[in-house]
Amino acid sequence: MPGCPRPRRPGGSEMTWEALSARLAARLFARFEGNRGAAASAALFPPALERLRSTVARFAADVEPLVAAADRATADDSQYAREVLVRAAQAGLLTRFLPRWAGGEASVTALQRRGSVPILMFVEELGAVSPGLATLLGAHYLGAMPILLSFDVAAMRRLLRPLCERLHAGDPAICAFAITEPEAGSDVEDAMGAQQARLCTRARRCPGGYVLSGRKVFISGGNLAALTTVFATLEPQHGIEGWTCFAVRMDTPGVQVVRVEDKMGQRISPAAELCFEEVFVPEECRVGPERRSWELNRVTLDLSRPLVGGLALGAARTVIGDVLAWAERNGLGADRLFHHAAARWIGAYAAAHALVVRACRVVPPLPDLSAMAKFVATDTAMRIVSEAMEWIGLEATVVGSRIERLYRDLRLTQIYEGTNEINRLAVFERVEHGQPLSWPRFL
Amino acid sequence: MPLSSPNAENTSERAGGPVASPPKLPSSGEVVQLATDVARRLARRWGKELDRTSPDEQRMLEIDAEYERAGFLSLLSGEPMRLGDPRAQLIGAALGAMAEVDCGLAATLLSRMAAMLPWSEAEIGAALVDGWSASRLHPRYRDSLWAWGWRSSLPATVFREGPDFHQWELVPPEGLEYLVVHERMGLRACTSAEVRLVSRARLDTIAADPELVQDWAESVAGWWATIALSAARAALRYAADYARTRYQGGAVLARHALIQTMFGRGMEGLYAADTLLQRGFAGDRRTLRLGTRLAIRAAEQAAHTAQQVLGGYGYMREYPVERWLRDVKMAAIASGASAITWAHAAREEFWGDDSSP
Repeated sequence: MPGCPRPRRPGGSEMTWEALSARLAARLFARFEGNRGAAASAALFPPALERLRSTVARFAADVEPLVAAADRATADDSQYAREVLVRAAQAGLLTRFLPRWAGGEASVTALQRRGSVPILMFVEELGAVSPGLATLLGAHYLGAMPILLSFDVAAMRRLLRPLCERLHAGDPAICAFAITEPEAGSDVEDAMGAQQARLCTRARRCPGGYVLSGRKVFISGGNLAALTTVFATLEPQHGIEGWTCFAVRMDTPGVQVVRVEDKMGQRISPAAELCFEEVFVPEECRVGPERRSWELNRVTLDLSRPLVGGLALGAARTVIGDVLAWAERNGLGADRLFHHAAARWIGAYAAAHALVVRACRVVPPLPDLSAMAKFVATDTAMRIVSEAMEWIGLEATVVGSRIERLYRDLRLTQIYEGTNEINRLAVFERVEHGQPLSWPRFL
Repeated sequence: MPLSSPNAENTSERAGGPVASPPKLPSSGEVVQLATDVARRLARRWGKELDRTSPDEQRMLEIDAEYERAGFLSLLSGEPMRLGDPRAQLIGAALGAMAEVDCGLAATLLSRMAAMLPWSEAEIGAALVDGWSASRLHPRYRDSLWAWGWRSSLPATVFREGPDFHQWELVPPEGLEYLVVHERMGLRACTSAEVRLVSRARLDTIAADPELVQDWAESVAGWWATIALSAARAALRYAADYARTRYQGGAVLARHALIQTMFGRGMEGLYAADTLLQRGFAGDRRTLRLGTRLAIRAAEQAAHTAQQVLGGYGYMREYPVERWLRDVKMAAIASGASAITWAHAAREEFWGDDSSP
């Protein structure tokens, strides 16, 4: 080809046009020649993330027996959860996403560049073994989130550094996030509800700080935590305007774990009821400014909702893998009716996954996109596991089989971080505040 | 008061005079009342143990004795039950009423009834070895069979089919080796085990009329669906009571249009499925098949709705809703209705049996 420059390899060296076209043809038609490996080798994520993924996956596989044991244990037996947390702390998984200046290992530039995609990978790999496991470890980061999102570096150092030091030493000093109350579940997850809701956990000023009184329920890891971020109101009559967040050390006098709930699934992750009786919280343990914690709560939810979708999809991935293996074992490996069903699951999984990744990449997170990612992904995961169980039949209902546990575990993902119904309302929360929907620009 | 046995009445009438009249069946209201009473009594006795503990054979036998005293088992005596037989509807009514109290207890009764179907003598106790749903779905024989309502001291019914035969076999207890008693996700009051046939000894064998096989398979599936529907109905009712008292956004849940719509959608499925099942049990096999499939989906949807309405509380074992969901899922799978059910129904409707893939 006279006058036409020679093609170059990515490295810079020249090659002939014939060689290039032969290479393209080989790649295009590789799948018809049984040479599948060559075509499918493109890694989806950069090497650092792939390393993270494999570390977490290894950890999750190692602790799976503990998860299974906890599923059969009584609700108040938290020894398995504690053991998992010790191992996670030793593996550095509980400090991995805390910023360096607070004693963790995460860089803020990475957060800017990748959004919460690394955390998504983390919860997804944990969720692939058990959504409960992802909740147990994820709730720690959720608890730390208001402190991080207050962007008060001094507070991060003060509150999180001591925890990180203990975590580095293998002591599972985790955080928990306490917002739900016996009379306010959906109300604290939804702006309209929150305006009407009356938080029963109250804070009042006293010399040197505040005094907290009230009750919080369904607090993931609440009975194991060293520090809990608690949302309380300074003026109950003012709705969300009075909301303020406090970091409460769990060894403070007056803090009590009332009980640990007996749950349908996710039993590795204890959910505790906490009672605060005249608990003194020093001024420096207030998180963010007074009366600005509704925003803190909303941004925390915007970050955590797509991650819930991610952990559910992790479990769905395992379910799909398991049901494909089951089909192979039972002579349905080439059954076209089964292929149709499985293709629907895989297609729905892929679509939901793309949405979740998209939601996690946006910095700062978009409330409507986050909510959408959560309900689409969790509904998809639940549909997949439910239909897969129908195919497998009675074997899938035996307690001790993984799919049975995943079914029970996954059910919670449609309920926490706001029920999916509340998340659907959250899509239009911006509109209620006179702002346009971010849809469809974000796509 | 126990139900009167149709067979017993028949006998006395025959002895009393030359005119034989059809057996008098109890009314549906009587059956429902009795089933509710029995289930309440049993549920009071064991309480939450029925869900918590591993299956217990002694408990199964005590429950059996209660059913026998109440006269449920004698409903099956007399002529083999064909679809359209009012007894099938009565059994469905009993199961539904029981399931509203405890689905596991209803499953216990169902397993016993299903096992007894081929044998007209009501005195034969039997456990059903599941040759019905699972192996009919994917016709292959494996080493072990799934026994619903396993009672190791009683003979078991095994359904076998091959290219040119369908038969029921009554296997003596010693002819079965049990491998493991499973704890399942739901319906825990009813035991289930994996068993293996270890001898060729049979107490009885019946070559089955394929039509009858179909009738019974669909009836059993329809009964499972009835249990699922009842559980879902109970779950919705419970959630509706909760919605009356729980506030969200400053108003009780029951006043939110979204919540009302969710309940309405749940009801829609339950009503539709219930209607199909009733028509099916009245003698229309195809409707029964489709009704079963619709019922398990509608029941799952409704139980799901109930749990969503309760939110976090719905996920806690302290509240009954999560259990209803597990029971519904279990009954759905036990019914054996799947995508293949649709294929069956479509073949019958449009192309005939020779279109089998």
